[in-house]
Amino acid sequence: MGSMVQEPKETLPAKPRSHWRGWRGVFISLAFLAALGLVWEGIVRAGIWPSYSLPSPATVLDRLWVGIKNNTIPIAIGSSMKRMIVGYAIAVVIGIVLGMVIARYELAERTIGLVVSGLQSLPSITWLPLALIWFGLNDRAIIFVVIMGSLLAVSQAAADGVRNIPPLYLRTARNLGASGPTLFIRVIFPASLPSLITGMKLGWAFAWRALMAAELLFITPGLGHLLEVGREFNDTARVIAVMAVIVFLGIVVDRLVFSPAEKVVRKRWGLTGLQA
Amino acid sequence: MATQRNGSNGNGTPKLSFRNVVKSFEGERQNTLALSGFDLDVYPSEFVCLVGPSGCGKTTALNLAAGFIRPDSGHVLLDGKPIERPGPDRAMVFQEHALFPWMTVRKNLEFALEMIKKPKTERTIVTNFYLKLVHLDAFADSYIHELSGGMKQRVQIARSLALAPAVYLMDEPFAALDALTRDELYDEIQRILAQTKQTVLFITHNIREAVILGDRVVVMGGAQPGRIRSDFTVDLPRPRSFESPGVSDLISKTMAVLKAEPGAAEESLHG
Repeated sequence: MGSMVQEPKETLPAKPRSHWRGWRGVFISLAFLAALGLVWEGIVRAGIWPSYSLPSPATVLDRLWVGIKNNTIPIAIGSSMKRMIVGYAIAVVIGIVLGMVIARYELAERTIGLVVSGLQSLPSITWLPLALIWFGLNDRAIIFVVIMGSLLAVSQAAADGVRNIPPLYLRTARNLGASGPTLFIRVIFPASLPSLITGMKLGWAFAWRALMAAELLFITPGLGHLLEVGREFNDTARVIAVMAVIVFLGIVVDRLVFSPAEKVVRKRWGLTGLQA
Repeated sequence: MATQRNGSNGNGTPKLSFRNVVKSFEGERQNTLALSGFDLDVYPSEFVCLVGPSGCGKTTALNLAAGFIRPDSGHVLLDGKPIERPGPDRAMVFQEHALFPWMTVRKNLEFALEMIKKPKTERTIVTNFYLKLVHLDAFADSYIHELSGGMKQRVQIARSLALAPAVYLMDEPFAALDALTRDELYDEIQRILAQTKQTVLFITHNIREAVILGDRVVVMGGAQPGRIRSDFTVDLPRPRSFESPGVSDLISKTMAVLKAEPGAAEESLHG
């Protein structure tokens, strides 16, 4: 082809970031964890602390395996997750409605908004005594603490999300004649989703903390309770094994639920720009 | 080719009219007068381009017609009735970011049709028709972030066409586009309007664009802010482009009028 102008060849080097993607990245993360385990094992073997204070990784893995085999850990996960999902679902629904109302109506902002931002400074576990008085020693008390743990974060995020909606979306909606519930459900809610998902993620983390704290103080099946049982038996390995399970669940939920949802929404809402 | 209007030689009763409209905005230090004694009639099937530098009040006029704001005094009338709130009978085409990214192209149109209470089966038919008209039928199920700037403006145009409003309001719809895409859309919008004979109020700071698209070019800005300086009828044959005979003459003529008063037209020159 007798082209007169030589097109410059694309010789741009790949971004350094790309080296860390895919399986290579996973491998490096796993290698780091393995190295951490080796350091841990080394410290245990050095015998600085007695083994009942600092058990070896192998002992922790063994307790984990035993806990899974005798079904105590799966049962604890099941009952913790059940409370978590019920409490969180209620918190999300109420939180979104509250947040949207706060952001759209000045009166609500001056009243409910004031209470919401005030109560946010209250650590969620401080609701437990009140919950026990109101609901007694049962699941409803714990679910109440979970709700109070995440409700305020979710409603704050929903309110921020609504306040940050690009004004042109609202002008367009008004121009098309959208108003009332239609405007809320079809435009305001989806338009605020990017902030909302971040808030829901935060709300889930808060709810998880609240749940663990409540379960620690409360005799009932659950992961927090399992931690407390480990302490009563002075079984450090068991305590660490349960902590590992709690961390694992947190990561799994984030990676399987929130991160993908966040990614899809940010991309579709045009918020990611051109970065690869 | 171009004749100065007296404002009374329109065909029939005006579709959209501004009668002695005054509108000011509260500022931190002082109030700004955006429109004062503003009179304009837009007649049925007329494409009126309101041109002027930023701050001349043209956007305020459009927002009044859209019903986003209310005049301090005077009247803004659609078919003789005062405009009180925003509504789809004055469908607007914005500069950008006016399509909902959580909906596909098709859903954006169907949502608009749902708002004017079109039955479901009809929504699909109307949507298909207008997407085809703007050559985007192949992108019906794409999301907005997958479209180019020009395609997005076509979707906006299709959406407003689908609503069959009494008057189209266009707020610098091509300002954010590159020159090539813009030329393409000039052709397209002239082709479509030749078929549909719609009434349009089109805001732009670009005199060239105004002369190519408008049946009338109304120029704002100058010593007295918020008033109309001149009102030209453009009776050149369509479709027009920059190369069409008479267009460049008229462009330079309009610019000369604007330049007559210093400081009035600088911003219109870089269009």
